[in-house]
Amino acid sequence: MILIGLLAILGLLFLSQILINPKNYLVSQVGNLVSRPMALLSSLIEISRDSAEFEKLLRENEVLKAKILLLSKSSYRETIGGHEYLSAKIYSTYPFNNRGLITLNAGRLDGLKELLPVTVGETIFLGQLTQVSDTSSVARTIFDAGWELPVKAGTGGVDALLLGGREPRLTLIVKEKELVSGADVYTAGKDFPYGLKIGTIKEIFDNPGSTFREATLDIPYAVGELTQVSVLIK
Amino acid sequence: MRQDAFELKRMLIAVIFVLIAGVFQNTSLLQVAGIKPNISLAILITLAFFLDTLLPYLVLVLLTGILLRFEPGFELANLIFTAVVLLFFFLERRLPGQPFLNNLILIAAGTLLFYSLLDWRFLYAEPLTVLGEMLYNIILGALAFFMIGRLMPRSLPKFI
Repeated sequence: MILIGLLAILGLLFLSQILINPKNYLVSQVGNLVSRPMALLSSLIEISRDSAEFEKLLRENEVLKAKILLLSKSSYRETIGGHEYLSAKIYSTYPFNNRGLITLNAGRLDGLKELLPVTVGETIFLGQLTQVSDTSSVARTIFDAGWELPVKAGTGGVDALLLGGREPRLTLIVKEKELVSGADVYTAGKDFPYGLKIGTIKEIFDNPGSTFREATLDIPYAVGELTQVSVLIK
Repeated sequence: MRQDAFELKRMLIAVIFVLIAGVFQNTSLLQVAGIKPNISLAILITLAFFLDTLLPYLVLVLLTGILLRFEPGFELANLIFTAVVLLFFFLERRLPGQPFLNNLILIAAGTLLFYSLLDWRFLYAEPLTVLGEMLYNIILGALAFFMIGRLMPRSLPKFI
């Protein structure tokens, strides 16, 4: 009898959506708790990195610490290069591999609305808000299979189409246009600010039966390790 | 009375496994090379081998469903996930052979069936991701089978 009652309650909760935000908060807290010892372990494993790299990271670390201090003493909003950003924490990530969605801990009450661009470190394009509630929002990222957006690559601004997925790639690159590995890839669609970096060209493939080439990308961050992103408000 | 306490303890252990899996499923902590395992699927299929009746299993499945809710509104992924694990609960009882191997086979089949029903284009758009996830799920399922087998014995221990 107790079990059936419990089932009925769980069934109602399963069908409703009232637990989504508390669940996201819980997941975020537990995730942070677990990620710290995991980060410590991984840093112990990678302790053999060369000293120059280590010195560089130390300097970056000091800059980041200063930035955290500044942010903790002021609003999460900041203006960089004439653009206003809102820093938001990643609450949770889409549970399965077929979508590249993330939930953020900021929503309509923080000034967010649908279609705003989401970035990593203010200048690297990550995705776009697709759903905004009062206190949280869902963003589609370039790791979402099936997402396509127009981009440009290299100093010559070669047109291409970015195909989202676990490993985002470029397609529809005209063969006659010169493009080399290491060239920057940046946003060029009308829905986003022009010139936000997405990554760099890793490898270019010629497709014998086609007039177009394809390319793989180097993304300058590990999406699984992201805990905070910025939303470009204006 | 002792039997009731024993069953309650088993159920509590199962709930803890489901909660841990649910939390991990919502984060990227277990992501390897961009591939996230379906730890909730692996744990629930494994638990099917250790629970005899449907009602406690249904509680665990619904609890997982609540933890996996990602967006407001109707979520097809959640419904398909629930259907797949419930189907495999009944299927597990009809499989011949070793439960350990059956568990791994069902986890592999569950991964494929889940994506086939949810987003079949994903299967041929990113076959390596699906294969990678399947392998990852199998490894987690094997570990879970070993751990759950130790923590949730089927019968009451006999003390003299």
